[in-house]
Amino acid sequence: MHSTANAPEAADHDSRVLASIAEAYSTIPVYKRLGRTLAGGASLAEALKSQPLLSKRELRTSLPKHWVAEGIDAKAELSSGRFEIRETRGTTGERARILWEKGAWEANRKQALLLNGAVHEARSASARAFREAVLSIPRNLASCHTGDSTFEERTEGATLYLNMRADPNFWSDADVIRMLDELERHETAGLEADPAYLALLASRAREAKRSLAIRKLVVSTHSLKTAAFERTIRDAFAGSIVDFYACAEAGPLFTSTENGYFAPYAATAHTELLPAIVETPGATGVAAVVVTTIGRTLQPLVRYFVGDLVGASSVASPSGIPMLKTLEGRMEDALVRPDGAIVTAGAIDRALAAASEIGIYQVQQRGLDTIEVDIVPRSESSTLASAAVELLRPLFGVMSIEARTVTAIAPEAGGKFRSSRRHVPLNIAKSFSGCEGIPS
Amino acid sequence: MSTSPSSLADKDAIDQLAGRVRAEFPMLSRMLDGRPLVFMDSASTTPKPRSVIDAVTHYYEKCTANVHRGVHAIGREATELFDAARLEIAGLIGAQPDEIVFVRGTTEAINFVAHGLCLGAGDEVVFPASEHHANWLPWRVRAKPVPMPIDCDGVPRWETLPDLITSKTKLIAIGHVSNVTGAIAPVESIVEIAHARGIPVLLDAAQSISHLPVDVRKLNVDFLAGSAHKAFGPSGIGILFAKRDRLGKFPLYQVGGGMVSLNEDIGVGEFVPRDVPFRFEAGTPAIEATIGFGAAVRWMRHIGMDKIREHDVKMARYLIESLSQVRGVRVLAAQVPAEKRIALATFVVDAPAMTQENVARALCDMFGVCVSGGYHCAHVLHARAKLDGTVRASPHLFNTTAEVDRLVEGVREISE
Repeated sequence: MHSTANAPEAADHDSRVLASIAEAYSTIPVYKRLGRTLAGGASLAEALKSQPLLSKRELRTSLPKHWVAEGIDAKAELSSGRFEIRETRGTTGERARILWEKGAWEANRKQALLLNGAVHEARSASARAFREAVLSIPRNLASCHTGDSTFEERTEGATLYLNMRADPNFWSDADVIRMLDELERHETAGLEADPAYLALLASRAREAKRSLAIRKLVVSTHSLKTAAFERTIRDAFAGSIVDFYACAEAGPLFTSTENGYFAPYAATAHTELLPAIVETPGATGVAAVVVTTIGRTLQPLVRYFVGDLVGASSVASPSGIPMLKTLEGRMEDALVRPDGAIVTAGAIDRALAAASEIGIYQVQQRGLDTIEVDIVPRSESSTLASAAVELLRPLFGVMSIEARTVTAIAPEAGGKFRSSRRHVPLNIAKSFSGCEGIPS
Repeated sequence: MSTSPSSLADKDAIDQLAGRVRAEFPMLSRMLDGRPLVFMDSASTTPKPRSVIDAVTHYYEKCTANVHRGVHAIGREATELFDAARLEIAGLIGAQPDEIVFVRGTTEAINFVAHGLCLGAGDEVVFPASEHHANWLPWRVRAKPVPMPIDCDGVPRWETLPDLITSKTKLIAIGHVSNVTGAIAPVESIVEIAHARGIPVLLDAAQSISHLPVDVRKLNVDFLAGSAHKAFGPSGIGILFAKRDRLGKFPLYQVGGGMVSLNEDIGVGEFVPRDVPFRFEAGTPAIEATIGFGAAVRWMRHIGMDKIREHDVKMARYLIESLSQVRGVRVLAAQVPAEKRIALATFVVDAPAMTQENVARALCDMFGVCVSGGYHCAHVLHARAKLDGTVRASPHLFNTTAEVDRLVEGVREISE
């Protein structure tokens, strides 16, 4: 892990977190309405334990103006451009609007990425602004789109936004060539990418006998980087791949490091890991992520239940937050066995990693004891489906597993690809320690 | 909300009818995030009443068979239901059944006319610049579009029509009700002007057939296009009405099974298509959707189109007045009186750092109110009105005034 100026010591970190909670409770209307109070004199661990979790529902169903301290005119600040609203994507059940000070998210992202040595080195070596491209859900994806934009219109400062299509399954050859050309034209040093999108681009680049013109590194973020995605990306790109875990609501949380762990970005967030209290086959140290933001005056979050699962390590960072071994995917993507055991998206991916012919897959649980697997093979294979079933069998025990090959996997309406989807409820409170109050 | 005495009386009337019909819509009992669903996006598509759902499931459960082909009892039952739907739908607009061609929806109906008129690149089609893409792009592709000027709120400047007509004008195509402003077009006077010069008129009735009594004989339009899904019916089915003499001159549109009277291709090398409208309906039709459309029309006619319109006028007044009172909200075409519009309000909310789509999403997430946000397939209208998107609330006869109040509360919260 590369040390940064933003790596606070544990005691200092704890006092900053406590101060942030006290400030939030005393100034923010939402917390006042909820009647939140913080007893003085307690340690951070004790203080947090006494506080209820905050769910996305509280964010989604309250207006941004209710998340600013009384006396601040949110409308005027938004008009002036000093504040901005970031809207998370997803279905009605997942969306939320988050207030940020203009530029704060980006500044934190840049700092958090420096926890990785390759990023640090690449940025240090760059005499001019680090030229980045972004490959993900289009930025201005409206329900009624207003046509394509030019290279110049998609370039903001040193950052180029590549994609203009809602679903990369429908990228035309011209779309692919344009993006490959633009990577070159932009003299891209780093590409921040949803790994699903990048794997599809890498695959199409290979078909077109083109390479990915990325000079230094790829930052994989937004969704789980499966082994299959990584293999496909690796076919077209040999540089560093950095895994970056952030959430739109709280900002950057963890960055992968050279020592194999994910290091917490403790400058702006305190992360609690609430351990699973049920069996988690194929994964160890599985925990739910809960975040308390630090030093944020706009929409400060106290014990916000992010809805993601990680694999915690026994190694602590300087702030006291444990380092992570793995990212295990979304809570809603973790499947549940009839005996209550949870199979995470990460566990499924490790099981399927041995099937090198998989291009992209999706595992779905529509019933309590049935699993369905759709696989897009990298090349024609008559045995891939049955091989996948055998690889998954140890995770799912007596459950019925059906696998088939398909020609494409659809992203969800918001544009994200999900490697697994659970359509049956999971009792979160009974599966994770300290998760009372979080709806199934 | 409005406090004028007339609105208080209207309010009772609105809620009375809404209270009577809303139990028939299963979807309306849904909750969103613990809040009752307020559905105000009927201009996009309406929820479906139980009778429509039952009609479709009855076909699936009891008489799934092809129509006009089956010699067995099930095929006959399906055919009877299908044919009855055509009669029902024709009755809704005062047409004869043989003047109704089933198509996928309004868009296909308009494209069908664009094809049928055999337009050339120099032929002109006049239409308001406020039109939906469905009544713009077919003319852009097949002829020379002549958009009629609109005012800053997107209302067509109808008085300019005579000046836009030239010797090359082959059609005047108008939306009966604007999907953005909700304003009703002065159809009769347009038809008079057009027919005086021998020019046919096409009426895009996508937004009108579930709100207004529509009579093609009284309106004297030559063509009318409509969709089921905006009129309580299933998606994937719509109609083109055309006067017999017009339809008779149209070239074949699609060919295949079901539209053939006689195939002598092996012998004399020709085939004889069936009469209109069947010659334009090649292939197996959308049987269950058509039957559902028939059920939807029956449901509306049972309530009575005059009664629906009466409700609509009151709702339009209540909606526009209520939204217009919110500071920071601009309602498009608010000056158009309720009698000349349907219950539809498109507005812009002054919410810094939020697009109008963000506003629409926030209304759903925070208040359970489903409305449209964006450009509503009318990009030119928005460009000319210098609007970067709008929010559109389109209630229908199942909506209550309390639901309008909820919308207004949400808009007020967001804008303030």
